[in-house]
Amino acid sequence: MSIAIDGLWWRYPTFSVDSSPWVLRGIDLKVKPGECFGITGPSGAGKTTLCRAMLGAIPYSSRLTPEQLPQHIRGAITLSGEPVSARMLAANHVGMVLQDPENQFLRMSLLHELALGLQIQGLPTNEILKRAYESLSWVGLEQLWQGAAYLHPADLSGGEKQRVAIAAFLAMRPQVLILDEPTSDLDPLGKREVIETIARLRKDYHMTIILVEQDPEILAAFCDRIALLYEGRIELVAPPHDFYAEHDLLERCGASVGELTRISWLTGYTYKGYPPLTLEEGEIAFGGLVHPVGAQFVAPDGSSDNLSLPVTVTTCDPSLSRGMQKQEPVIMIEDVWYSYEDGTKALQGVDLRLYPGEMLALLGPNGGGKSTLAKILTGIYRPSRGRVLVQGRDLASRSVRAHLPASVGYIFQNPDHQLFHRKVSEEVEYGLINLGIEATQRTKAVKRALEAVGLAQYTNEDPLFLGKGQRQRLAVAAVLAMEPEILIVDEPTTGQDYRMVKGIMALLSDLQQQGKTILVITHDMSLVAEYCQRVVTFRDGKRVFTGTPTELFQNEEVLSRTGLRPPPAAALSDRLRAKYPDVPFLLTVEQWGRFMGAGRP
Amino acid sequence: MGNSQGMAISESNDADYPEGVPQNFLTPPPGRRYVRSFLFSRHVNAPFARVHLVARTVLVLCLSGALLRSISTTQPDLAGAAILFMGALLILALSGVRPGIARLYFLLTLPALLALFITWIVFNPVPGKVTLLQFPIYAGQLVIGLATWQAILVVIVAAYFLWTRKLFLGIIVGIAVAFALAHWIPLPAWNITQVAFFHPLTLLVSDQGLLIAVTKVIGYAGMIIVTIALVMTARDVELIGALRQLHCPQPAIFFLSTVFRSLDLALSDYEIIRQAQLARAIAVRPRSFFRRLRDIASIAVPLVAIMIRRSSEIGDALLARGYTLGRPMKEFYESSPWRLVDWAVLVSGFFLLYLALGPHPDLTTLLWKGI
Repeated sequence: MSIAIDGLWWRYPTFSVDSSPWVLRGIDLKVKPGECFGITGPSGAGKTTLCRAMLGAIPYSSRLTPEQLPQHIRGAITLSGEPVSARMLAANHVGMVLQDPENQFLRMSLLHELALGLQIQGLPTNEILKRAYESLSWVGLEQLWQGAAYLHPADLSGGEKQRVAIAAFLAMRPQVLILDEPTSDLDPLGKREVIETIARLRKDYHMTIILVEQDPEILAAFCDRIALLYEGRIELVAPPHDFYAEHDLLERCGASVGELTRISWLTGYTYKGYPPLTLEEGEIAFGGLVHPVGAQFVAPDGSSDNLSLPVTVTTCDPSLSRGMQKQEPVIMIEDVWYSYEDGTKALQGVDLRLYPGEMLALLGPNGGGKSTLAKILTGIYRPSRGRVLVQGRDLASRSVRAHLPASVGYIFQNPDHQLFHRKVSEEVEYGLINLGIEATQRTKAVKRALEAVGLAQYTNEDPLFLGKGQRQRLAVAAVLAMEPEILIVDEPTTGQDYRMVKGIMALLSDLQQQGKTILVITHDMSLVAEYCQRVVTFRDGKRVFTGTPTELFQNEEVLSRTGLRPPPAAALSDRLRAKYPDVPFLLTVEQWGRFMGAGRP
Repeated sequence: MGNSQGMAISESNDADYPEGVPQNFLTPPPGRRYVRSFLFSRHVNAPFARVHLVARTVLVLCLSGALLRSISTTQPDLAGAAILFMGALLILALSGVRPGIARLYFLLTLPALLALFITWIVFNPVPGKVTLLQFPIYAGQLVIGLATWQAILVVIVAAYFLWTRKLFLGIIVGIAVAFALAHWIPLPAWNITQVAFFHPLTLLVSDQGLLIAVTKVIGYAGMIIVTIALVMTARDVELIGALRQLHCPQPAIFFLSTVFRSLDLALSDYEIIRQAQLARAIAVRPRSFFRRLRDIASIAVPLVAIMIRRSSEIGDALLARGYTLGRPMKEFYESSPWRLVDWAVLVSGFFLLYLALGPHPDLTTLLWKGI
């Protein structure tokens, strides 16, 4: 047995007399050598705490006295039969890669980052060199070896940083590698790089891997078994097919579930009695059930549907977008260029129009120019060249740029970067004071904004003590209170669990229904398919594509150039259309549900 | 070894390379001309960066000492300061700093140097052989009472504030108008009492005063330039290596290294937080000085919150690498060897120190005598 956890309970020490609640409650787990073991569950379930316990950081870094220990920890963790202890922690039998690649890059050069653990182990220089190079090759980054002593963390992409973090642990030859949501902060390209690295570790090195993930596609693709952690308890441990067959439990616990599984749950169609987890399985599960007969499909129950399917239920109906485009654009960007001080060309001749009431997605790899464009639209940056009109006002004027926050709201990716006060109401009021709104109006606007995001009961709370989802909603409220007509939202779903994603997108969708124009910067293609009317893709500061999500997800060339991948529902649809050209292009689970006749079998 | 043009790294590391490991990890990455240093970036092959960090630091300190000596008020040495300033410029040129960045920071220091020049002229009336300007500006006594010019000043400042919500320009204009009116028109004033405070101030510009002011500006500019050169060329790995060679305690070295990395993260967080403030309309209306101070202070809330969250993860990352306080760490391509050029730089530094502490040659006087 590689790792065995028996009846583990843990609660963090506090500075007050009252004990904190138990974060882990009677965890029993056994991970076999060479196994890839997945752990999933909603935010706050205790996933990271469990990882820290397996690493040995809990309780040995919490500075508890032997008398205090029984009040905080119960149960046992063993690694290959030996209890996990402070000594074992120092021996580096377990490596742990964290979610944010920035926080685990401890040195200022790639070479020394790879060598750090080995320097601590006191290995000879040549051994350190050998292991550092080998591990870099294992994660497919040997091309970075030349000049490794000069490469600063900022010179690497998010995906490269995360792979370097994995390499740094591989160099230490751990028995077990824990990966705590290693892809959640990455763009699609970075995500793919890390996934391929994990796949290689499994295939070539048979390493025991514990993978904490929200992404069901990744869990299903790599894990032998998956555990569901909910409120500190293990609710389920099962192989992927059995795991995702537990509809009620997964729904109740708010676990993230793949689109193919959702289609299966919605329609009742399965692959060998289980929800399909791959496109191949999906093709078999759903493809065999749609036999084209002239202009009709025959469902398994013998009933038939006409081809003009009722797939107009979602907001990403292209006709909606076309209607909007008849109006005057609220944002007009013409030949905009932007260069940073170090000479990096972030935008190169970008043209774009944003129409009132639409939700438009800016897509593309990191460094493509999306955030730069957003910062130009909010007046933070001034374009080096070109013309930007927001509601008819030219941003060339400094005064217009200064007043933009009243009409363009910008919600940053990390809510912690934009919470300036120690009281929720003051936080929301901050922008209003800056705009010079009088006190009585401010009070009403604060109340309205907090009610809109469902935080009215937290008016006097300290934002720093709210959960991440609540902090994200507070950031939205703080911008919303300023009543901008246009909202720019940067990566609203990164690092959030399924319920949080649904909550924040429902809120944005409501705002759009109220007439707000929304521009979303995202890597989440399911979000794009479900909520956005139009998409614009960027690469290397240039606009590559403008169109509807349907057009994008059918355009192989653009997808390949921008490193994007269609969401599973759209990918499955595309595959089926290769066999059955009359099948309509279905983007979302909901469209699939309607097409297949939800709940028919 | 393979680092023909890269950093100077301990030769002791070079023996017996493991097989199959390319030896190009110390050569600059292909196509790269600049590498990141503490805060900025410098040219990969900058000559000044190839000097040992300790020698560089000693040279900068000694040069600053010599500059300080040359700008002495009692014996200002303009020629000496100018020559040392040229030396500072040469060091900056050899430091491989991006020209744009060097220009930007030098331009940023210009207002400070100008302020220094003006302050020196105003507050240090040094008599010389030739008096260029003499103008009493303060009699050494505070007059307590009421005067028409005070009312004029208050009205102008208040009106400007109500109109624009700004103060600074209002105060400047108010003072200028009140001063001009009081100078040319006999405005009524009612003195109650007079209190002696400070000493009389006279704007006295003499040839000697000008010489001292110019020498001081050149001297301080030289010190700024060499400091920029040192900060912009130093890398954290060099500092760690130098501290190792100086036998500093391992926990202190590791702590410093982590602080530099955290500082790097804090700088990027600060930039995002500042942008988030702009997005919350802080630039919409003119803001008073105190309001601006509050804006800056409010940055501390998100910055500290993020740093606390980061520190927790950094702690985990350290634990995962097996780091415990006091555990020794193997040296690995951090220390640079001490070479001939470092000795040469050190000797130059000590020569400058001798100029600073020993008998000062006073080049200006020597040149003057020669002429």
